This record gives sequence, structure tokens and C-alpha cells, in this order.
Amino acid sequence: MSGQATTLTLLGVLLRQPEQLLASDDEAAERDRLALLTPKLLGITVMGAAIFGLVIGSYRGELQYLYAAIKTPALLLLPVLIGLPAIRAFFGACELEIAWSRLALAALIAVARTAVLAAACGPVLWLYLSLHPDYHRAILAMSACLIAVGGPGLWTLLRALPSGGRHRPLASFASLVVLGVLLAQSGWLLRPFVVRPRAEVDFLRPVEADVFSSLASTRRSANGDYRGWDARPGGLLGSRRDLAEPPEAQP
Amino acid sequence: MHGTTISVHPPPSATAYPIGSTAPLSSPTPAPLRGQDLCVALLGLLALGGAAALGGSSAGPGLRLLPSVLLVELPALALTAPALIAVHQFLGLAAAPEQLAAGLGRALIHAGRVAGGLAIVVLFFAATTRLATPMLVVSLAAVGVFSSATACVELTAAERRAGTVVAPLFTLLLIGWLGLSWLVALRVGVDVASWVLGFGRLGA
Repeated sequence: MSGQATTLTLLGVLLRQPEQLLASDDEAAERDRLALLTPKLLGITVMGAAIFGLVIGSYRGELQYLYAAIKTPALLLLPVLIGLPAIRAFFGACELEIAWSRLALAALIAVARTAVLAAACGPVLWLYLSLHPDYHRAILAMSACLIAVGGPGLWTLLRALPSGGRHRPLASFASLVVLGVLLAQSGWLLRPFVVRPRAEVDFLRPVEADVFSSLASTRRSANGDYRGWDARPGGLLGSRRDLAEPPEAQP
Repeated sequence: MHGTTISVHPPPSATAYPIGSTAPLSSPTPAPLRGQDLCVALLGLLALGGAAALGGSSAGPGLRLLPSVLLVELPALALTAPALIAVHQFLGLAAAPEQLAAGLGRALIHAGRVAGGLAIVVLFFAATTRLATPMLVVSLAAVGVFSSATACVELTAAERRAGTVVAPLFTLLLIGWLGLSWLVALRVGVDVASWVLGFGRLGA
């Protein structure tokens, strides 16, 4: 590869050989590299995820284009931001002391790669959504896309960490669980992404219930049990309003 | 696209830290335990309980959640570590008591770090859901798994440093100690949970 690279070249390296972006000889060089690459990688993440968000927003249209495009980058970045200290501790407990700079760079590369791949999925997803599928099918299609592009992203993150260390699979497994749970709850917190065609468009729904109770309710509904769902305000940020009618679960 | 250009060349000495490199395993002579590390570990354990306490629905149980992780981890270790060291010496195995104690100390440090990392995750759930307590229980189990794994590695390394080979008896002892530790931790956990919920008192 040539010595100098523009953002497009960086994009190519990100997709073809992301490990090249990590190679460095010492921690100071890694810090320099992190400082140099962070704006570019964040820019790529925001652009890629925003494109994916625009596609999701197309299911409802109007303001949802903008809302989904703004929220999707946060959906990818928030879980990593919250989960990174835990991931570092997991690997530390398995004899792999990873420098913060390296871990942060690895995470940024993984998220940026995921975002670019998500954007690449955009045309296919848009084509499907343009056929006006059922709301639940639209959500399934979005989830399938996210799973399909999230896999390579997570793999990039795990491969970017140095190998070795006893019980490394334990740390990798715990990291995947933490990131998966955080991604699910972040998606719930930042909902709605896919909005029913006739539903009101909100930027964010009130902080209430959680993703797991939503999934349980959906499962009950799928089995023909429509008892409703007690979506009470949740956590410190939850609003204190009484819910006269439980709202419908929408991821 | 124009603007700042960046080098994507791996530097000449990139092989010093390449993908797929093998990070050093436990060093032959581990660094001595530092009080600062132990304090940070204890703070991590406290932070995990504190994060869940912030999501507690009422003041009493919420406040009692604060030391709950410490109250499970430390007594479980304090009750089982002397037994391990005593039986180890009784069986005439290689490592010295202080080496075993240092290994357990390092396991506690890692447990505290894992707890500190998970505290942020629990805090996120405490802020946005009513799942702070279930998340605390899951995190506590994760801390237990990681401290067990680290203790196994550290104790085996201590034994290997003291003798050339690890005797099968040591492996047996380690497995027995792990089982005992989990049983004691579960028993202590039940007591602490009762105390947190207000149905019991500690030490009863």
C-alpha cells in the first residue's frame, strides 16, 4: 500500500485488512495512531450508520428519515462506549492486559466497519421496505441486517485484541454477551427506528420497561395471548407518569 | 476526498504487536501485590453494588445493595482461602503459603476490576430500566466466574513455580476448593439477599 491515504483509502483498508490499522510498535505510537484515526473513523461510522438509518426511516417517511439517521450512529456507539471497561476487565482477568489506546482503536475500527457494512446493506433493505412489508417483517428485516453486519464487526474487535491468555474464550464470550445485551437495550432506549405507517413519529419514546419484557410480550402475542403489557417507567431516567393504557411494544 | 492524509502503513516494527501475536502469559516471577491495586479492586466491588443501589426502588434495600457485592465476595474468599492453604500444606504440595495467598490476592484484584467494568453496565440498566437488581445478580455471577478462572491460573502458576510439575493431587484440591468456594458464596449470597430485602439479618 502507498504511504499516504485519504479517507477512501482508509475505507478500503477498513474493509479489506482492518488489522493494518492497528499495527504499531509501542503504546505511544498507538496513542498517536488513535488520535490520528479517531476523527476519520468516527466520521465513517456516522456516515455509514446514518445511511442505514435513512433506509430504516424510509418505512415511515417524513421526519423519521431524519430521526433514524441521527439515532442509528448512537445505536452503534453507545454499547461499545458503555461496555469497553468491562471488556478490558474480562481480558485482564484472562492475562491479557490491553492498553486503553489499543482497545479504543480496535473498538472504533470494529464499529466503523459495522457501519460501512450496514450502509452496504442499505439498498437491499430499502428495496424490501419499499414493498411495504408487514410491520413485524420490517423489524425482522432490520434485525437480520444488523445481525449480519454486527457479526463481522464483533469478529473484528475480538481479532484486533492480542491472542494468547488462558481462558481467552471465556473473556470473548463474556464480551459478546455484554455487547449483545447493551446493543439490545440501547436499541430499546433509542426506539423507534421502524415506525408503523400510520403511527405518530417521535424522536424518542419515554424511558419505560425494557427490551426483555418487550420481547416476552411479543412472544406472548405471537402465541395468541394478548393480555397487554405493563410498560411502567423504568430506572432513574424513567418518567413518573402513570400509564393509563399500556403502549404497544415497538422496537 | 481531500484533507489530512494518514499513513496506513504498518510501521517497520509492527511485528512487535501484530494480530495473532501471543501475549505473554503469566510471568515466572509475578509482580508483588500492591495495596493500591487491592483498594481499587475493593472500590470496584463497591461500585458494582452502588450502581445497582441507584436503581433500587426504595431507600432501605437500595442502600443495603451498596455493600452487597463486597459482602458476598470477601467472606467467601475469607472463609475458603485459609482452608485451601491449610489443606495444601497438609498434603505436602510444593507452593509456599505466601505464594498461594498472593495468587488469591491477584484473583481478588481481577475480580474487582471486572466488577468495576460491569458497574458501568449495571449503571446503564439502573438508569433506563427496573432491571438493576437482576443485572447485579448476573454481574455477581460473572465476577465469580472470572475470579474462579483467575484463581485457578494464579494458583497453578504458583504451584508450577515452586515445583517442576503440578501434582494430580493439586488439581484435585483445586477442583474441590472451587466447588466449596461456590457453595459458600451461594450460601453467603442467600444471607446477603435476605438482609438486603429486609427478611433477615447478617450473621444470623
